[in-house]
Amino acid sequence: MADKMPSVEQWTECVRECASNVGPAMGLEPCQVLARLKAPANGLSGVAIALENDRPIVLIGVLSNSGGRAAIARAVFQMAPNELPKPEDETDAVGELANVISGHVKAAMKRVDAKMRIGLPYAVNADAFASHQTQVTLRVSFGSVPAALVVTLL
Amino acid sequence: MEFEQLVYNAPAILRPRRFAVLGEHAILMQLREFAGHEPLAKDAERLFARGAVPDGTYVARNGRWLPEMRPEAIVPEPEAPDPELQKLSAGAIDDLNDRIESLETMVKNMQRSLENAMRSLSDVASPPPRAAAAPAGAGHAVAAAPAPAPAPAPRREHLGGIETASRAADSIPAQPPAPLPLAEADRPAGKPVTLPTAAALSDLVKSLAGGDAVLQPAERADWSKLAELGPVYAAPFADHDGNEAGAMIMDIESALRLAGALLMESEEMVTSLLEEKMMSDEMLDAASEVCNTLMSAFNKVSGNTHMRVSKLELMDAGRLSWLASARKTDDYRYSHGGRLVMAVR
Repeated sequence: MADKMPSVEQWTECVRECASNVGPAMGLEPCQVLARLKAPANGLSGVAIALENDRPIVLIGVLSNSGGRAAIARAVFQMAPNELPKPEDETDAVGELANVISGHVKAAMKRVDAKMRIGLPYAVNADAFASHQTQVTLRVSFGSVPAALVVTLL
Repeated sequence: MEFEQLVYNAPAILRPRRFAVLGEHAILMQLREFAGHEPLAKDAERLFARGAVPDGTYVARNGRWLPEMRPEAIVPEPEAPDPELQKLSAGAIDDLNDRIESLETMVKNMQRSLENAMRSLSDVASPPPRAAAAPAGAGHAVAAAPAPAPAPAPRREHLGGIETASRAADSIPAQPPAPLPLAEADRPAGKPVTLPTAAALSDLVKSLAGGDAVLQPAERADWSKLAELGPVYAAPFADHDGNEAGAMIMDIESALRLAGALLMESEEMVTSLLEEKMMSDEMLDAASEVCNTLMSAFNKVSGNTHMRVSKLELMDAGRLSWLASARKTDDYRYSHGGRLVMAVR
Protein backbone atom coordinates (compact mmCIF):
# COMPACT_ATOMS: atom_id res chain seq x y z
CA MET A 1 0.00 0.00 0.00
CA ALA A 2 2.79 2.41 0.98
CA ASP A 3 4.43 2.33 -2.44
CA LYS A 4 1.14 3.36 -4.05
CA MET A 5 0.72 6.32 -1.74
CA PRO A 6 0.75 9.64 -3.64
CA SER A 7 3.68 11.98 -3.17
CA VAL A 8 3.37 15.15 -1.13
CA GLU A 9 3.19 17.06 -4.42
CA GLN A 10 0.15 15.06 -5.48
CA TRP A 11 -1.53 15.55 -2.12
CA THR A 12 -0.78 19.26 -2.35
CA GLU A 13 -2.28 19.51 -5.81
CA CYS A 14 -5.38 17.74 -4.54
CA VAL A 15 -5.63 20.10 -1.54
CA ARG A 16 -5.21 23.10 -3.83
CA GLU A 17 -7.96 21.92 -6.14
CA CYS A 18 -10.32 21.12 -3.27
CA ALA A 19 -9.66 24.50 -1.62
CA SER A 20 -10.50 26.26 -4.86
CA ASN A 21 -13.87 24.46 -4.96
CA VAL A 22 -14.65 24.96 -1.29
CA GLY A 23 -14.08 28.73 -0.97
CA PRO A 24 -17.22 29.96 -2.75
CA ALA A 25 -19.41 27.36 -1.01
CA MET A 26 -18.34 28.76 2.35
CA GLY A 27 -18.90 32.41 1.54
CA LEU A 28 -15.30 33.09 0.53
CA GLU A 29 -13.96 34.09 -2.86
CA PRO A 30 -12.22 31.47 -5.01
CA CYS A 31 -8.86 30.33 -3.73
CA GLN A 32 -5.80 31.48 -5.65
CA VAL A 33 -2.29 30.13 -5.07
CA LEU A 34 0.23 32.96 -4.80
CA ALA A 35 3.42 31.14 -3.91
CA ARG A 36 5.02 28.08 -2.41
CA LEU A 37 6.79 28.71 0.85
CA LYS A 38 9.35 26.64 2.73
CA ALA A 39 7.23 26.80 5.87
CA PRO A 40 4.42 28.95 7.24
CA ALA A 41 5.64 32.18 8.84
CA ASN A 42 5.78 32.45 12.62
CA GLY A 43 2.73 34.09 14.05
CA LEU A 44 0.22 32.27 11.89
CA SER A 45 -2.32 30.02 13.52
CA GLY A 46 -5.27 27.91 12.51
CA VAL A 47 -6.47 24.34 12.49
CA ALA A 48 -4.96 21.05 11.35
CA ILE A 49 -6.73 17.82 10.46
CA ALA A 50 -5.13 14.46 9.76
CA LEU A 51 -6.43 12.00 7.22
CA GLU A 52 -5.82 8.62 8.70
CA ASN A 53 -6.34 4.93 8.20
CA ASP A 54 -4.86 2.65 10.82
CA ARG A 55 -2.19 5.31 11.07
CA PRO A 56 -2.08 9.04 10.19
CA ILE A 57 -1.39 9.56 6.47
CA VAL A 58 -1.38 13.26 5.81
CA LEU A 59 -1.88 16.40 7.87
CA ILE A 60 -3.70 19.33 6.29
CA GLY A 61 -3.31 22.69 8.00
CA VAL A 62 -5.21 25.90 7.27
CA LEU A 63 -3.43 28.86 8.85
CA SER A 64 -3.76 32.61 8.67
CA ASN A 65 -2.86 35.81 10.46
CA SER A 66 -5.28 37.60 12.79
CA GLY A 67 -6.83 39.66 9.99
CA GLY A 68 -7.24 36.59 7.81
CA ARG A 69 -8.82 34.52 10.57
CA ALA A 70 -11.30 37.29 11.35
CA ALA A 71 -12.17 37.63 7.65
CA ILE A 72 -12.71 33.86 7.35
CA ALA A 73 -14.98 33.92 10.44
CA ARG A 74 -17.01 36.82 9.03
CA ALA A 75 -17.44 35.00 5.72
CA VAL A 76 -18.25 31.57 7.14
CA PHE A 77 -20.65 32.83 9.83
CA GLN A 78 -22.11 35.56 7.61
CA MET A 79 -21.22 38.32 10.01
CA ALA A 80 -21.36 42.02 9.19
CA PRO A 81 -18.21 43.50 7.61
CA ASN A 82 -17.48 45.60 10.69
CA GLU A 83 -18.29 42.86 13.20
CA LEU A 84 -15.38 41.63 15.29
CA PRO A 85 -15.47 37.85 15.74
CA LYS A 86 -14.43 36.27 19.04
CA PRO A 87 -11.17 34.29 18.96
CA GLU A 88 -13.11 31.03 19.46
CA ASP A 89 -15.36 31.91 16.51
CA GLU A 90 -12.26 32.46 14.40
CA THR A 91 -10.88 29.05 15.35
CA ASP A 92 -14.28 27.45 14.67
CA ALA A 93 -14.49 29.10 11.26
CA VAL A 94 -10.95 28.14 10.22
CA GLY A 95 -11.71 24.66 11.57
CA GLU A 96 -14.80 24.45 9.39
CA LEU A 97 -12.81 25.50 6.38
CA ALA A 98 -10.13 22.91 7.17
CA ASN A 99 -12.80 20.28 7.79
CA VAL A 100 -14.57 20.86 4.49
CA ILE A 101 -11.31 20.96 2.53
CA SER A 102 -10.22 17.72 4.20
CA GLY A 103 -13.58 16.14 3.38
CA HIS A 104 -13.14 16.98 -0.27
CA VAL A 105 -9.57 15.70 -0.23
CA LYS A 106 -10.72 12.46 1.38
CA ALA A 107 -13.35 12.01 -1.32
CA ALA A 108 -10.90 12.86 -4.10
CA MET A 109 -8.31 10.42 -2.77
CA LYS A 110 -10.85 7.65 -2.13
CA ARG A 111 -9.33 5.45 -4.82
CA VAL A 112 -5.95 5.66 -3.17
CA ASP A 113 -7.32 4.56 0.19
CA ALA A 114 -11.03 3.86 0.55
CA LYS A 115 -10.73 3.32 4.30
CA MET A 116 -9.19 6.71 4.95
CA ARG A 117 -11.12 8.87 7.40
CA ILE A 118 -10.93 12.43 8.70
CA GLY A 119 -9.35 12.92 12.10
CA LEU A 120 -10.49 15.43 14.65
CA PRO A 121 -9.57 19.05 14.00
CA TYR A 122 -7.21 20.71 16.44
CA ALA A 123 -5.88 24.22 16.83
CA VAL A 124 -2.27 24.73 15.77
CA ASN A 125 0.19 27.50 15.14
CA ALA A 126 2.99 27.71 12.60
CA ASP A 127 5.49 26.11 15.01
CA ALA A 128 3.73 22.80 14.44
CA PHE A 129 4.92 22.84 10.83
CA ALA A 130 8.71 23.05 10.87
CA SER A 131 10.09 22.92 7.34
CA HIS A 132 10.92 19.44 6.08
CA GLN A 133 11.04 17.48 2.86
CA THR A 134 7.60 15.93 2.90
CA GLN A 135 5.82 19.19 3.56
CA VAL A 136 4.54 21.85 1.18
CA THR A 137 3.17 25.24 2.19
CA LEU A 138 0.99 27.06 -0.29
CA ARG A 139 0.41 30.76 0.28
CA VAL A 140 -3.10 31.27 -0.98
CA SER A 141 -5.71 33.99 -0.92
CA PHE A 142 -9.48 33.72 -0.97
CA GLY A 143 -9.96 37.02 -2.78
CA SER A 144 -8.11 39.37 -0.46
CA VAL A 145 -8.27 37.01 2.53
CA PRO A 146 -4.78 35.59 3.14
CA ALA A 147 -4.19 32.01 4.20
CA ALA A 148 -1.61 29.24 4.09
CA LEU A 149 -2.41 25.63 3.25
CA VAL A 150 0.17 23.28 4.73
CA VAL A 151 0.29 19.68 3.57
CA THR A 152 2.51 17.29 5.52
CA LEU A 153 2.99 13.66 4.62
CA LEU A 154 3.08 11.74 7.88
CA MET B 1 -16.97 8.49 20.49
CA GLU B 2 -16.82 10.57 17.33
CA PHE B 3 -19.95 12.28 16.08
CA GLU B 4 -20.60 13.90 12.73
CA GLN B 5 -23.66 16.09 12.36
CA LEU B 6 -24.98 18.04 9.41
CA VAL B 7 -25.84 21.54 10.55
CA TYR B 8 -27.09 24.54 8.64
CA ASN B 9 -24.25 26.96 7.96
CA ALA B 10 -26.56 29.25 6.01
CA PRO B 11 -30.23 28.88 5.09
CA ALA B 12 -29.31 26.69 2.13
CA ILE B 13 -25.90 25.30 3.05
CA LEU B 14 -25.39 22.23 5.20
CA ARG B 15 -21.97 21.61 6.59
CA PRO B 16 -20.59 18.70 8.56
CA ARG B 17 -19.78 19.29 12.24
CA ARG B 18 -17.48 16.80 13.92
CA PHE B 19 -16.89 16.42 17.59
CA ALA B 20 -15.85 13.76 20.05
CA VAL B 21 -17.06 12.59 23.44
CA LEU B 22 -15.01 10.50 25.84
CA GLY B 23 -16.22 8.11 28.57
CA GLU B 24 -19.24 5.82 28.94
CA HIS B 25 -21.36 8.29 30.86
CA ALA B 26 -20.70 11.18 28.47
CA ILE B 27 -21.37 9.00 25.43
CA LEU B 28 -24.72 7.83 26.80
CA MET B 29 -25.70 11.39 27.74
CA GLN B 30 -24.85 12.62 24.27
CA LEU B 31 -26.76 9.81 22.55
CA ARG B 32 -29.84 10.51 24.68
CA GLU B 33 -29.78 14.13 23.52
CA PHE B 34 -30.39 13.12 19.91
CA ALA B 35 -34.14 12.88 19.34
CA GLY B 36 -35.21 9.82 17.36
CA HIS B 37 -32.10 7.79 18.22
CA GLU B 38 -33.30 6.09 21.44
CA PRO B 39 -32.48 2.57 20.12
CA LEU B 40 -28.85 3.64 19.70
CA ALA B 41 -28.72 4.86 23.31
CA LYS B 42 -30.33 1.63 24.61
CA ASP B 43 -28.05 -0.53 22.49
CA ALA B 44 -25.03 1.42 23.80
CA GLU B 45 -26.20 0.81 27.38
CA ARG B 46 -26.41 -2.94 26.66
CA LEU B 47 -22.99 -2.87 25.02
CA PHE B 48 -21.36 -1.11 27.98
CA ALA B 49 -23.11 -3.46 30.45
CA ARG B 50 -22.16 -6.61 28.52
CA GLY B 51 -18.63 -5.52 27.77
CA ALA B 52 -17.39 -4.25 24.46
CA VAL B 53 -14.70 -5.80 22.27
CA PRO B 54 -11.34 -4.62 23.68
CA ASP B 55 -9.88 -1.86 21.49
CA GLY B 56 -12.72 -2.45 19.07
CA THR B 57 -14.45 0.15 16.96
CA TYR B 58 -18.23 0.25 16.61
CA VAL B 59 -20.27 1.88 13.91
CA ALA B 60 -23.97 2.73 13.97
CA ARG B 61 -26.08 0.81 11.43
CA ASN B 62 -29.88 0.65 11.41
CA GLY B 63 -30.13 1.75 15.04
CA ARG B 64 -27.63 -0.83 16.31
CA TRP B 65 -23.96 -0.67 17.21
CA LEU B 66 -21.96 -3.11 15.13
CA PRO B 67 -18.24 -3.88 15.47
CA GLU B 68 -16.33 -2.35 12.59
CA MET B 69 -14.36 -4.84 10.52
CA ARG B 70 -10.66 -4.71 11.14
CA PRO B 71 -8.73 -3.32 8.17
CA GLU B 72 -6.62 -6.47 7.76
CA ALA B 73 -9.81 -8.54 7.36
CA ILE B 74 -10.98 -6.46 4.42
CA VAL B 75 -9.81 -7.67 1.03
CA PRO B 76 -8.94 -4.56 -0.93
CA GLU B 77 -10.63 -4.08 -4.28
CA PRO B 78 -8.30 -4.04 -7.25
CA GLU B 79 -7.52 -0.40 -7.80
CA ALA B 80 -8.13 1.13 -11.20
CA PRO B 81 -5.58 3.72 -12.28
CA ASP B 82 -6.70 7.05 -10.88
CA PRO B 83 -7.29 9.54 -13.73
CA GLU B 84 -6.66 12.38 -11.27
CA LEU B 85 -3.22 11.02 -10.38
CA GLN B 86 -2.46 10.37 -14.05
CA LYS B 87 -3.33 14.01 -14.76
CA LEU B 88 -1.01 15.11 -11.94
CA SER B 89 1.82 12.99 -13.33
CA ALA B 90 1.26 14.45 -16.77
CA GLY B 91 1.57 17.94 -15.26
CA ALA B 92 4.88 17.01 -13.65
CA ILE B 93 6.16 15.63 -16.97
CA ASP B 94 5.13 18.84 -18.74
CA ASP B 95 7.08 20.83 -16.15
CA LEU B 96 10.13 18.63 -16.67
CA ASN B 97 9.83 19.01 -20.45
CA ASP B 98 9.69 22.80 -20.03
CA ARG B 99 12.83 22.70 -17.89
CA ILE B 100 14.65 20.44 -20.38
CA GLU B 101 13.64 22.78 -23.20
CA SER B 102 14.95 25.84 -21.37
CA LEU B 103 18.20 24.02 -20.46
CA GLU B 104 18.68 23.03 -24.11
CA THR B 105 18.18 26.64 -25.13
CA MET B 106 20.70 27.74 -22.55
CA VAL B 107 23.25 25.21 -23.82
CA LYS B 108 22.66 26.36 -27.42
CA ASN B 109 23.20 29.99 -26.40
CA MET B 110 26.41 29.05 -24.59
CA GLN B 111 27.63 27.09 -27.64
CA ARG B 112 26.88 30.09 -29.82
CA SER B 113 28.83 32.42 -27.51
CA LEU B 114 31.72 29.95 -27.42
CA GLU B 115 31.81 29.68 -31.22
CA ASN B 116 31.84 33.47 -31.56
CA ALA B 117 34.65 33.75 -29.03
CA MET B 118 36.67 30.99 -30.77
CA ARG B 119 36.19 32.69 -34.14
CA SER B 120 37.28 36.03 -32.71
CA LEU B 121 40.39 34.43 -31.23
CA SER B 122 41.33 32.60 -34.43
CA ASP B 123 40.77 35.71 -36.52
CA VAL B 124 42.92 37.78 -34.22
CA ALA B 125 45.65 35.15 -34.58
CA SER B 126 45.49 35.16 -38.42
CA PRO B 127 43.76 38.24 -39.93
CA PRO B 128 42.46 37.59 -43.47
CA PRO B 129 43.90 39.71 -46.29
CA ARG B 130 40.59 41.37 -47.32
CA ALA B 131 39.88 42.93 -43.93
CA ALA B 132 40.61 46.44 -45.17
CA ALA B 133 37.76 46.20 -47.71
CA ALA B 134 35.12 45.77 -45.06
CA PRO B 135 32.51 48.53 -44.92
CA ALA B 136 32.37 50.39 -41.65
CA GLY B 137 29.87 49.04 -39.12
CA ALA B 138 29.43 45.68 -40.85
CA GLY B 139 31.30 43.81 -38.17
CA HIS B 140 28.24 42.38 -36.46
CA ALA B 141 26.80 41.04 -39.70
CA VAL B 142 30.01 39.38 -40.70
CA ALA B 143 30.43 37.84 -37.29
CA ALA B 144 27.50 35.64 -38.10
CA ALA B 145 28.95 34.36 -41.37
CA PRO B 146 32.71 34.18 -41.22
CA ALA B 147 32.96 31.29 -43.69
CA PRO B 148 33.49 32.08 -47.38
CA ALA B 149 30.37 32.28 -49.57
CA PRO B 150 30.04 28.65 -50.84
CA ALA B 151 27.80 27.24 -48.12
CA PRO B 152 26.27 29.95 -45.95
CA ALA B 153 22.85 28.35 -45.44
CA PRO B 154 23.66 25.64 -42.88
CA ARG B 155 25.60 28.06 -40.69
CA ARG B 156 22.74 30.55 -40.76
CA GLU B 157 20.39 27.83 -39.59
CA HIS B 158 22.75 27.03 -36.74
CA LEU B 159 22.89 30.67 -35.65
CA GLY B 160 19.12 31.08 -35.37
CA GLY B 161 19.24 34.05 -32.97
CA ILE B 162 21.03 36.34 -35.44
CA GLU B 163 19.19 35.31 -38.57
CA THR B 164 18.75 38.86 -39.93
CA ALA B 165 22.40 39.72 -39.58
CA SER B 166 23.61 36.59 -41.34
CA ARG B 167 21.18 37.17 -44.22
CA ALA B 168 22.80 40.58 -44.74
CA ALA B 169 26.15 38.82 -44.75
CA ASP B 170 25.26 36.86 -47.90
CA SER B 171 26.19 39.82 -50.07
CA ILE B 172 29.21 40.96 -48.06
CA PRO B 173 32.66 39.53 -48.56
CA ALA B 174 34.10 37.57 -45.65
CA GLN B 175 36.10 39.66 -43.24
CA PRO B 176 37.29 39.44 -39.66
CA PRO B 177 34.54 39.70 -37.07
CA ALA B 178 34.61 42.59 -34.66
CA PRO B 179 33.70 41.91 -31.04
CA LEU B 180 30.12 42.89 -30.23
CA PRO B 181 29.84 46.16 -28.36
CA LEU B 182 28.33 45.65 -24.91
CA ALA B 183 25.20 47.65 -25.63
CA GLU B 184 24.56 45.58 -28.74
CA ALA B 185 25.02 42.33 -26.83
CA ASP B 186 22.60 43.49 -24.14
CA ARG B 187 19.89 44.33 -26.61
CA PRO B 188 17.06 41.79 -26.41
CA ALA B 189 16.66 39.56 -29.44
CA GLY B 190 13.06 38.54 -28.59
CA LYS B 191 9.79 40.30 -29.28
CA PRO B 192 9.27 43.66 -27.58
CA VAL B 193 7.36 43.39 -24.33
CA THR B 194 4.30 45.45 -23.37
CA LEU B 195 4.04 46.48 -19.72
CA PRO B 196 0.86 45.48 -17.85
CA THR B 197 -1.59 48.12 -16.62
CA ALA B 198 -1.58 49.49 -13.07
CA ALA B 199 -4.99 47.87 -12.53
CA ALA B 200 -3.71 44.41 -13.50
CA LEU B 201 -0.73 44.75 -11.16
CA SER B 202 -2.90 46.15 -8.36
CA ASP B 203 -5.27 43.19 -8.58
CA LEU B 204 -2.34 40.90 -7.85
CA VAL B 205 -1.09 43.14 -5.06
CA LYS B 206 -4.59 43.09 -3.50
CA SER B 207 -4.57 39.31 -3.46
CA LEU B 208 -1.20 39.49 -1.69
CA ALA B 209 -1.72 42.26 0.78
CA GLY B 210 -5.46 42.82 1.13
CA GLY B 211 -8.17 44.87 -0.52
CA ASP B 212 -6.67 48.26 0.39
CA ALA B 213 -3.29 47.54 -1.21
CA VAL B 214 -2.69 49.08 -4.64
CA LEU B 215 0.09 50.23 -6.92
CA GLN B 216 -0.40 53.86 -7.81
CA PRO B 217 1.30 55.25 -10.93
CA ALA B 218 4.03 57.70 -9.90
CA GLU B 219 6.40 60.18 -11.46
CA ARG B 220 9.55 58.76 -13.00
CA ALA B 221 12.31 58.37 -10.45
CA ASP B 222 16.07 58.40 -10.94
CA TRP B 223 16.77 54.87 -9.72
CA SER B 224 20.52 55.28 -9.91
CA LYS B 225 20.21 58.05 -7.33
CA LEU B 226 17.76 56.02 -5.25
CA ALA B 227 20.27 53.16 -5.25
CA GLU B 228 22.87 55.52 -3.77
CA LEU B 229 20.47 56.49 -0.97
CA GLY B 230 19.40 52.97 0.04
CA PRO B 231 19.31 49.37 -1.10
CA VAL B 232 17.55 48.76 -4.42
CA TYR B 233 16.70 45.30 -5.72
CA ALA B 234 16.09 44.16 -9.27
CA ALA B 235 14.68 41.01 -10.83
CA PRO B 236 15.36 40.75 -14.56
CA PHE B 237 12.87 38.87 -16.71
CA ALA B 238 13.55 36.99 -19.91
CA ASP B 239 11.78 34.85 -22.48
CA HIS B 240 12.34 31.09 -22.79
CA ASP B 241 15.31 31.65 -25.11
CA GLY B 242 17.03 33.61 -22.37
CA ASN B 243 16.59 36.99 -24.11
CA GLU B 244 16.43 39.49 -21.28
CA ALA B 245 13.48 41.80 -21.86
CA GLY B 246 13.47 44.04 -18.80
CA ALA B 247 13.35 44.08 -15.04
CA MET B 248 11.22 44.74 -11.99
CA ILE B 249 13.01 47.05 -9.60
CA MET B 250 12.02 47.74 -5.99
CA ASP B 251 13.34 49.90 -3.23
CA ILE B 252 13.90 48.16 0.10
CA GLU B 253 10.62 49.41 1.56
CA SER B 254 8.37 48.04 -1.17
CA ALA B 255 10.41 44.81 -1.31
CA LEU B 256 10.12 44.26 2.45
CA ARG B 257 6.47 45.26 2.67
CA LEU B 258 5.39 43.08 -0.25
CA ALA B 259 7.51 40.18 1.02
CA GLY B 260 6.01 40.65 4.49
CA ALA B 261 2.51 40.59 2.99
CA LEU B 262 3.27 37.35 1.17
CA LEU B 263 4.57 35.72 4.34
CA MET B 264 1.74 37.29 6.38
CA GLU B 265 4.36 38.73 8.72
CA SER B 266 3.33 41.25 11.34
CA GLU B 267 3.63 44.99 10.68
CA GLU B 268 6.03 45.26 13.64
CA MET B 269 8.41 42.73 12.14
CA VAL B 270 8.45 44.47 8.75
CA THR B 271 8.90 47.88 10.38
CA SER B 272 11.83 46.66 12.44
CA LEU B 273 13.58 45.23 9.35
CA LEU B 274 12.89 48.47 7.53
CA GLU B 275 14.38 50.56 10.31
CA GLU B 276 17.54 48.48 10.16
CA LYS B 277 17.41 48.44 6.33
CA MET B 278 17.94 44.73 6.61
CA MET B 279 16.84 42.23 3.99
CA SER B 280 17.01 38.66 5.28
CA ASP B 281 17.39 35.71 2.91
CA GLU B 282 13.88 34.62 3.75
CA MET B 283 12.43 38.04 2.94
CA LEU B 284 14.47 38.23 -0.28
CA ASP B 285 13.09 34.84 -1.33
CA ALA B 286 9.59 36.04 -0.53
CA ALA B 287 10.12 39.29 -2.47
CA SER B 288 11.31 37.17 -5.42
CA GLU B 289 8.08 35.20 -5.15
CA VAL B 290 6.19 38.49 -5.27
CA CYS B 291 7.99 39.32 -8.54
CA ASN B 292 7.00 35.89 -9.79
CA THR B 293 3.38 36.64 -8.92
CA LEU B 294 3.54 40.05 -10.63
CA MET B 295 5.05 38.38 -13.70
CA SER B 296 1.71 36.72 -14.37
CA ALA B 297 0.32 40.17 -15.23
CA PHE B 298 3.01 40.51 -17.94
CA ASN B 299 2.20 37.09 -19.31
CA LYS B 300 -1.50 37.91 -19.54
CA VAL B 301 -0.88 40.93 -21.79
CA SER B 302 -2.02 40.03 -25.29
CA GLY B 303 0.95 39.64 -27.64
CA ASN B 304 3.56 39.25 -24.91
CA THR B 305 5.71 36.16 -25.12
CA HIS B 306 5.77 34.00 -21.99
CA MET B 307 8.52 35.19 -19.68
CA ARG B 308 10.19 34.10 -16.48
CA VAL B 309 11.54 36.36 -13.81
CA SER B 310 14.88 35.71 -12.13
CA LYS B 311 15.54 35.99 -8.42
CA LEU B 312 15.53 39.47 -6.97
CA GLU B 313 19.03 40.72 -6.18
CA LEU B 314 20.70 43.79 -4.81
CA MET B 315 21.62 46.27 -7.56
CA ASP B 316 24.16 49.04 -7.43
CA ALA B 317 23.70 52.35 -9.20
CA GLY B 318 26.00 51.37 -12.08
CA ARG B 319 24.00 48.29 -12.99
CA LEU B 320 20.82 50.37 -13.10
CA SER B 321 22.18 52.91 -15.57
CA TRP B 322 20.40 51.21 -18.47
CA LEU B 323 17.10 52.42 -17.00
CA ALA B 324 17.79 55.90 -18.30
CA SER B 325 17.60 54.60 -21.87
CA ALA B 326 14.94 51.94 -21.25
CA ARG B 327 12.34 51.63 -24.01
CA LYS B 328 9.56 52.08 -21.45
CA THR B 329 9.31 52.38 -17.69
CA ASP B 330 6.28 52.51 -15.39
CA ASP B 331 6.99 53.86 -11.91
CA TYR B 332 4.65 53.02 -9.03
CA ARG B 333 4.17 53.86 -5.40
CA TYR B 334 2.99 50.98 -3.22
CA SER B 335 0.08 52.17 -1.08
CA HIS B 336 1.58 50.55 2.06
CA GLY B 337 4.96 52.19 1.44
CA GLY B 338 7.86 52.14 -0.97
CA ARG B 339 8.20 52.41 -4.72
CA LEU B 340 8.93 50.15 -7.64
CA VAL B 341 9.35 50.33 -11.38
CA MET B 342 8.62 48.01 -14.27
CA ALA B 343 11.02 48.56 -17.14
CA VAL B 344 11.55 47.06 -20.57
CA ARG B 345 14.77 47.40 -22.54
